[in-house]
Amino acid sequence: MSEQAHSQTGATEAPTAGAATDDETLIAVENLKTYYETDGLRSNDPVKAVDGVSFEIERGETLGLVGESGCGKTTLGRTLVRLETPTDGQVSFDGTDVSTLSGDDLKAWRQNAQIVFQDPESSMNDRLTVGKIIREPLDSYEWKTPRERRARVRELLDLVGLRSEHYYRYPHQFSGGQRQRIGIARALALNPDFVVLDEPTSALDVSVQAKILNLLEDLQDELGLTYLLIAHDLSVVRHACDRIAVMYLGNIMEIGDTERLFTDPANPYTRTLLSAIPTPDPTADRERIPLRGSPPSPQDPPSGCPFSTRCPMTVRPEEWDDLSEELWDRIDLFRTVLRERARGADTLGTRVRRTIGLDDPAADFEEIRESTFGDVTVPEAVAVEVDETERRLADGGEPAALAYLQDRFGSDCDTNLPAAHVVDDSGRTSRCHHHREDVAGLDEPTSARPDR
Amino acid sequence: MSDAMAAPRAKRADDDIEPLLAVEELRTVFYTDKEEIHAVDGIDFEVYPGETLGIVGESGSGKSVTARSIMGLIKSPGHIVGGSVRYRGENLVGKSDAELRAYRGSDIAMIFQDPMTSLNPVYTVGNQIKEALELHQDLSGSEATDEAAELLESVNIPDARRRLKSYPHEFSGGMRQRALIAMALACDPDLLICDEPTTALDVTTQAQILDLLEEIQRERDLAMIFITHDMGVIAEIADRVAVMYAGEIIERAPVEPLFADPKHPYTRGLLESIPGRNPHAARLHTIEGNVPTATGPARSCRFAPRCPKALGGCERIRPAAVPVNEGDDGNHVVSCLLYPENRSEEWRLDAHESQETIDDANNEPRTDGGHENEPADGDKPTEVTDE
Repeated sequence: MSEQAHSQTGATEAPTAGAATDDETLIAVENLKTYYETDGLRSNDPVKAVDGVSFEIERGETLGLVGESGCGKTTLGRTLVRLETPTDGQVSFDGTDVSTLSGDDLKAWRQNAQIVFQDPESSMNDRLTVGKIIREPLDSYEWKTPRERRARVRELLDLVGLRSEHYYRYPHQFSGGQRQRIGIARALALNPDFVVLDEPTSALDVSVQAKILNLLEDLQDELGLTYLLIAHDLSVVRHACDRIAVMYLGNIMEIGDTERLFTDPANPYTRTLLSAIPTPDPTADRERIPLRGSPPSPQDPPSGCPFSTRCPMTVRPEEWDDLSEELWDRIDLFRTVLRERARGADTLGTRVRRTIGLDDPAADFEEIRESTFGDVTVPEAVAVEVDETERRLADGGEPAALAYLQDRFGSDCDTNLPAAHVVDDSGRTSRCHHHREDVAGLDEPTSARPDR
Repeated sequence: MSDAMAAPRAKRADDDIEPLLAVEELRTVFYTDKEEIHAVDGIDFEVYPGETLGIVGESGSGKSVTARSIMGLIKSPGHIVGGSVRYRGENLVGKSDAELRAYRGSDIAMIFQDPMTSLNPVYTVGNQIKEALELHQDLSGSEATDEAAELLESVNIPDARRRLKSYPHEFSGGMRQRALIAMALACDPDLLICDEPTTALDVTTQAQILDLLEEIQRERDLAMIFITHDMGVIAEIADRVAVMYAGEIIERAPVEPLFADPKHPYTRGLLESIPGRNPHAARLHTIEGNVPTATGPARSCRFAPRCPKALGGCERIRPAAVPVNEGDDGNHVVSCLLYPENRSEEWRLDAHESQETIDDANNEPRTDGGHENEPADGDKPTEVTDE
């Protein structure tokens, strides 16, 4: 939304953050982690909602945060305004570390950072009048005199396009779009510098969405606001944001200038995500990159690249260079099936049955073999590995079989988190091993896999 | 390219291929203590074998009520008060629940927005698919299990046989929707009604489900009615589109002309307000005002108060569905007093007011002869004011 030129510091080496580093940085996030503790019967692993992200937001800019549900984007937004306490890492706001603030200090700082919630139905108290709802932050901070507070609320109502006679009405008398305006007015009451917009339009119809997006843009121009816009609708983000961060499983996979990211996505996940957007143009060509399996559990993320279990472009070990794309694809599928099985078998009932020998994990192995490799010719070298996998499966269950497959067919993708490589002169970064000097690039035909 | 797409459809209408489903003047009203809501207010459309009709509209426009009316799923206080739903010529309106059951599933199947609420959480997915197979295909035992596994495989769920033993909560959202599609296919329907089937899903999963539906349609020559609020999804999946606004269909056209050259001011406004179509626009276009609630039968154009192009007559004449230009093949139909474009305003106002004139003049496919239009009868304006 703002007109700042992000490309001016193109040569800057910024290995951890995509943003150009100058003194206009409002928020700097470093290696931020937010985990949710669990006390499950079988596992005490925390849910790693945000798992080490670093980026910066410049004053006056709009950073978009996109990703599928469960990728941790809302948790990240809530952590930035300290509705969640970070497990590790730093968030500095205007130069001061706010990740460890508490008590009065935290309350004092919160005036600067507000949030607009996704669902305008559930994010306000239906028993309070609209005026009272918007006044609540002012009351809570004992802002000036009650008379001035009321005047401020009227000013805010006007600012967001409502009328001052709406002061004494109740939320249920308003439409979804109007309720979202009330939520925006409440967030702006204390004149914050930074506002997290958590899917502000996803509950609204397109024609209403357009009005709210225009309003947010006007408010930014007028008040010099800095936004973090969280959305799953990529076209909204493209329209509204200066830069975009793409999240997957608690990690930022790619972050950088909006237009460049949309026109020339560097990361395989960004490519997959963008290829999935339905375009409102029936004549458009689409080449979708299909995505296998379901996203891994954030309680037990993959050990290497977070996207490795579903990535259609994983690095292939040299040993298997001469396998056909189709066969390599089947091996991927084979691993996916076992992964899904491992997840399904991880129950108390299955464990007990297996312990007393009632459940043989390899009993229907022939079926997997048939459904994954049934219609392709499998060379001896691969067949041997599949046979060995069966043996491991029978002896040690799915985890043993998967470990063997990873050892034989895995690569850096399975074991090492890729670094955030700078991919263009605007400082955009992407986490993928294909950006490394010693690995063939994504678009190089030798080892790159076509998008099918 | 758009001509190439439109041509076979036009041919279909001309060649008198019987539509699989023909909805005519359908009206569904909800009676509450406070008011009557005319959720579906006299809509017409046909679905031909093997094609996908997209119904698009904002919330409250009546798209879901349309789907439920077709399936006979309208519950009190809602009632179908007029019109017909003809499936292979047989009118479904007025049939008893027992009679309708013969059609549901085996002829017309439906999938809903939220896959979790459509599945029973205490039975395995396999159990539920086999139940459908037993009811509709008379299969049971290992035969049913084989068929169920095959169905799951056909909706691209890997390791299908093992997956039959899973409970719905063990499936991801996308897999649940796939399982529901498998159940719908179990009955081997000819028409599949999809009511916002991808709205609750992520874009990547949505893309998979859309691809799957297209694949299934090709393989089985299935006709689909696809209901959504998402113009992007409509552009991808529909052959023809009906745009709904406040209980009425205000524009019908093959998908390409609709997106390339929308005619109704509402359709235009709606398309202009989508960020995806206007990624470089500094500001998004907006439509002033809000969607009205239809508390009585339409006596005027419901969009007129928000319309940037409203004429004097819009407030008192209910527009008829007319071709964009008089003499067109009737594939692109608009309910707006601005059309037919090649006629004078005076002529158009007269024609829309009396309705039959245009219908007769153009062999519009929805009318098999000039059938009388109820709303025009009860809607006698006092005088004509020219602008």
